[in-house]
Amino acid sequence: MQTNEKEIVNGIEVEVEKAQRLIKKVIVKEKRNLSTKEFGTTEMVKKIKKMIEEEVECY
Amino acid sequence: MLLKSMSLTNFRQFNGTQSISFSVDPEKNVTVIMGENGSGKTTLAQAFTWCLYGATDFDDQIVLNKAISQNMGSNGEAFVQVKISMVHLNVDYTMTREQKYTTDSTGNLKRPNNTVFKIQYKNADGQQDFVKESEVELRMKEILPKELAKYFFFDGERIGNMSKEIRKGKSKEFADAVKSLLGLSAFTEALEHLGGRSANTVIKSYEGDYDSKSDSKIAQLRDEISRYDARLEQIEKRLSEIDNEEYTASEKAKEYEVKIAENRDSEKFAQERAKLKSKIAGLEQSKVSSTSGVIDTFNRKGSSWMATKMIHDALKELVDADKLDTGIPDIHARTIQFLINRKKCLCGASIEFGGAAYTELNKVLDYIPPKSIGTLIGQFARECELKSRGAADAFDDISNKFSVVSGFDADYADLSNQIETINKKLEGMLNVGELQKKYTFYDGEVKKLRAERVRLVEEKGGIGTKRERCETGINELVLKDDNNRRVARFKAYATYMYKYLFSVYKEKETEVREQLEEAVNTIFKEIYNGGFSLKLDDKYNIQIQVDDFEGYSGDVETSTAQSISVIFAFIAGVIKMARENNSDENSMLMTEAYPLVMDAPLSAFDKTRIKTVCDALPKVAEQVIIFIKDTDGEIAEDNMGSKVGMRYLFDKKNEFETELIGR
Repeated sequence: MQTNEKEIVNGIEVEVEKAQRLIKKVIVKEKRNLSTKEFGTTEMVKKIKKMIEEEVECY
Repeated sequence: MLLKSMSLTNFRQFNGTQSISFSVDPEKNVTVIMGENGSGKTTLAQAFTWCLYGATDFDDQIVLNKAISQNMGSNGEAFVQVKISMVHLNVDYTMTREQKYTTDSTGNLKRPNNTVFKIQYKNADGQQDFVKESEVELRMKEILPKELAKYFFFDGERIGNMSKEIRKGKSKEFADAVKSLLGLSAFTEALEHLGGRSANTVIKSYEGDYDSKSDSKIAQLRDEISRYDARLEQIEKRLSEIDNEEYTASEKAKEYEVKIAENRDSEKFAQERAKLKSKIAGLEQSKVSSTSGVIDTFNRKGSSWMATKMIHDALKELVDADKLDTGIPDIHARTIQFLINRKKCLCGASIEFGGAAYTELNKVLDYIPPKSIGTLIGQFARECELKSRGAADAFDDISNKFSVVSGFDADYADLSNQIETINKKLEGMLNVGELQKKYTFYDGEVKKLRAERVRLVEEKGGIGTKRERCETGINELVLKDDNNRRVARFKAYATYMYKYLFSVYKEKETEVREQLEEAVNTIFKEIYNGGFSLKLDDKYNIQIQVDDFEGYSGDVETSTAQSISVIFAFIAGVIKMARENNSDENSMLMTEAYPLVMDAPLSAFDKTRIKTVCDALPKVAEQVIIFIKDTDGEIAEDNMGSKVGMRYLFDKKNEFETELIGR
C-alpha cells in the first residue's frame, strides 16, 4: 500500500516512500561495491545520480 | 577475511621457501602451531604484520635469514618474501611483500631496499588482476585496518601495553576501524558519495548541473555557497583536530594531576630541607665566631690565666718580703753617692776609695731606692693583681665559646643526617612546582581548546544558516527554469537521503555499540568469572566496572589475567558481531568474518581459564590460528582437540634455521 507522505526539502516536495526505496537501493549498491571494488567514487556518484533520476521520474 | 595459506622465503629463521596452510573448515577452524621457546613462533606471527603492513616489533629490522646473508659473498643479492592468501568478502586475494638485500664488494650487507607490496585478486570475470600500486595501502586498510590488526594478530607477550591502550587512549582511527568492522562502512560510503567532504558528491554534482548562464544571481549565490563550504570544511577539520588535541591535553593534565598527588609530600620535604640547611648555615657561622672568640681570648688572657697559679704562689711567698728588705728607710741612692763623693760619712769618718766604709756603702746601694727590693716587690704585686684580675673570667669565657665549638660537630652531624634522610626520600620524587607548571599549562590548553570549539560551533551554525539562505535563494531562482527545476528536485531527494541516512547512521552506530558491549560482556563473563562488567564509551574505550557495588562507576585496576580476558572479550565480541551481521543478507550493515591469530596467548591464564578460553574462541571466531609452546599446546589441544583442523610443529635446526613440519 502506498503512502503519500511528503517532506519539503529546500522548498521542494520529496515523496518519503520513494526516497526510502532509493536509500535501500543505494546501500545495497554500496555493499556490493565494497566487496567487488568495481567502481571508484566518480562512477558511484554517477550511478547514484542515475538511480535517483530514474526513481524520481518514475510515476 | 579468512587466511588460506602463507609462504615465507628467507624470512628470519625460515631459510628457503616454506609454506603453511591454515584450516578453513568451519567445523575444524583451529590451526595449532607448536614449538619450543626461540623456535620461531613469534617470527611467524610477525610475518603476518610484515607482509600486510611492512612492520614488525623486532629490534632488528633486517628480516633476511642470517645463514643466507652470511653466504651472500661480495656484490651478492637475496630476496625476502612473505605471501599470504586469503578470502575477503568472497574475493580471493594474495598479498605479497618482498624486499631485496645486496652486499658490497667486501661482502657486507648494504642498507636494504624499501619493501614492495602487491595485492593480487580475482576480478569479477574470474581473472587474476593486481590492485594499482597507488591503491594497495588503501585497499589493505579497507580489508583490515592497521589500527585493528594488532588485536587480530594478537601477541600474548605484549599484553600490558594492549590492555592499557584498550582501556584508554585509542585514536579516532581506531573507533572508525571498529565501526567499519561492525558493518557500518556501507553507510559511511553512501554518506560520503551523497554529500561527503570531497568535491565529488551527488549533491555537489547536482549544484553543478544547474544552468546558471542565464542568471548571474545564481552564479553569485553558488560562489557564496562554495566559500561557505570551504570555511565549513576548515571548521570541521579544526573541530576534529580539537577533539584529538583536547583528548591529549586532558590526558596529560590528568597524568600531571596524579603525579602532583603522588609527589605532594616532596614539597613538604623540600621546605623541611630548606629549614635544616638554614640551621646548618647558622651553626657554621656560630662555629666560626666562637672559634675566633676562643683564639682571641686565649691570645689576650691565656698567658695570664696560665700564670695564675705561679702568681698566686709568688705572692704568697712575697708576704714576708719585708724580712728580706735590708735597706735603710728613706735613704736614696743619691744620698749614698753624695757621701762617697764628699769622702766623708755623716758620722764624720773619712770614706776612702776601696776602703772598708767605701765597700760597705756600695753594698747599701743594692738595697735602697731606686734599686730597692721592696719597691720591686710592690711593683710586682701590683702587676700580679692586674694580671689576675684580667684572667679571672678567661676560663669561663673560653670554656663557654669552646663548648659551642665542640657542640657544633654533634649538631652538624645530626642536621646533615636529617638532610640526607630527606634527600633519600626525595630521590625518585618529582618537583611539585614543575609538575604544577605543566599541569597548569595542559589544563589551560584544554580550556583554550574548549573555548575555540564553542566559537567554531557558533560560527558553523551561523554559516549553516547563511548557506541555507543561499540554497533557498538558488532554489527560488532555478525553479523558474524547467531544466533547473528538474535538477533541484533530484538534489532535494539526494539531500533528504543524506540527512535521513546520517540520522539512521547515528542511531545504528549507538545500537551497534550497545550490542557490541553486550556481546563483549557475555564473552568476558564466560572467560573471567568475577563480579565485573565492561562498559564501552563512544571512542570504544573499555572500562571495567564492579557489579556488586551499586553506584560505583569508576574504572578498576586489573590483574594480568583480567587484562588478557578483556582483550579476548573485546576482539571476540567484534568478531562475533561481524560474523552475525554477515549472515543476515537483508541487513543494512555489511560485515565480514575475521580470523584470530594469536601468539602465546595462554601463558597468563590458569588451567580453568585456558579451558574456558579454548572453549569460547573457536565458537566466536571464524578461524583461529594459535602459536603456542609445547606445554600450553598440550592443554590447548586437550580442550580444543575436536576443533583443530591443522597441526604444525616448528623444528629448530639451529639459531638461524627453523623448519615447519606438519603433524
